[in-house]
Amino acid sequence: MKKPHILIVEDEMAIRNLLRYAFEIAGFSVSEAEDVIAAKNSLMIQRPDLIVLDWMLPKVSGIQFTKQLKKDPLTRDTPIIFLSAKATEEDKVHGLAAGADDYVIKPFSPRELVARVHAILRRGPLKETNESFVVGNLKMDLKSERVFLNEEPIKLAPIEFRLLRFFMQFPNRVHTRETLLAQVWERDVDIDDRTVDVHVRRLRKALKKQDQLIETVRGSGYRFNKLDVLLVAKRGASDGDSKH
Amino acid sequence: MEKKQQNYRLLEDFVANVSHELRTPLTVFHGYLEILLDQPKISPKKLKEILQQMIEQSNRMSFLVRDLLLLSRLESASPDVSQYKPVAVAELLRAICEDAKALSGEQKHDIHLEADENLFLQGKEEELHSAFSNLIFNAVTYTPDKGKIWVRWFLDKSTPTLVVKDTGIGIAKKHLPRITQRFYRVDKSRLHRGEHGTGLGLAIAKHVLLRHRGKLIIESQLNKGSTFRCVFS
Repeated sequence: MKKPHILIVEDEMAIRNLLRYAFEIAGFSVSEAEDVIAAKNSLMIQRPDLIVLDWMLPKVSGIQFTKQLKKDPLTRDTPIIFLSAKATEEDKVHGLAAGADDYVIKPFSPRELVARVHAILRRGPLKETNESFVVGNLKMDLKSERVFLNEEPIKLAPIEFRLLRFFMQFPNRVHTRETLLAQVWERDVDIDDRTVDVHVRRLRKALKKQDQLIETVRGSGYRFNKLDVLLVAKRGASDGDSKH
Repeated sequence: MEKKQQNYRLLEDFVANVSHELRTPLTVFHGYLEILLDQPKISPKKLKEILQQMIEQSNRMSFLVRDLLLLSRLESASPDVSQYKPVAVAELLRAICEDAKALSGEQKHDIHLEADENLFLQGKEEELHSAFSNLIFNAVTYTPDKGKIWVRWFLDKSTPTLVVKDTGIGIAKKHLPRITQRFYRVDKSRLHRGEHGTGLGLAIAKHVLLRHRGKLIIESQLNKGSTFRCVFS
């Protein structure tokens, strides 16, 4: 099983070192950032399962950053635990109101922090793993990672699956090749923009008559045209086949 | 009454700052102790790393206590001028610049010292040592690698003067009036703070100078550098 991934955003190196060690021995993989800029770079490379965020950061505070993260559809659902030296109830409310999922006061116990992270991650598998995207007669089941066209499964390479997932998640807007590289390829690799074109072509081919869903926007990038995107929550109900 | 309230406010801020400064080293210290208790099997290499970090944090707490005590003594007791002796400032600065070079280490700052050997200052050597070393170590901490630092001790129109000038990151104008306040920080981060930085260095320097009939004049330009001038009348 893949290790859960934690991003630690904290300007004090000594605390970052401590947290890295505490999370690693608890079976997590860890990225570190000393400020918000570094955190944003890290998010482009790897999407964490949870972010541990210090309140007092240089330039952009943890609160401001939380608000940004909660606005961005890509990071909106990533849980955030606040670390703070501010210990009053008022501060706590302020932190939670900004969108943090939990709030831990320094000095804290790493054991307790790890326990809280486990609790938040257990609260349920991430929303999207229980859902599927449906556009017309195209359906993506996020749990089984399968795609159906007219209820027939179609074969996609992993990168094309991710590309389609991103398109279906954020339809009707133009995505530049750089954005797609950063968000779909999920790592900081030196790939040519044309790589995107190659995979879009393959994806269109797989979509057969539905290939017009992906539109080339001259000079900008690509747009996935949603006529009707439904986010179908599977939770509880067995929705069976989607009938249109 | 208003004065009393103001004093109370200052004390409150002070206590908040001290506890804030203690929180990080305590967190690290406590955290590792907990891990060590939970982890029966730990490699000698990792153990050494952990102990090293704990020592650093306990040093940090000691420096804070040392500076707090020094500052409180400087602020409360009036100077005993009868104890003052002529201090060989040139020699003092030589020793501090050597320490500054050690502190700079791999950062390879270019540290120049020019000091008038015959110019003595009536005062208390330990106090002057902490004031001057705070200024010079600050220059190292806030100057990028290979930057230049000039230290000059001379008679400027019959006024004994120490100038510490650097090509560092500088201080924005709006921060200058408050820069010598205890725990005042230009940005909230501690990114630029050296291992020894307690947030009290400039406050100590200012008080030491006051006790030596001197004053601290700071000029700075963001991204160009700063000049700290101690003028003794």
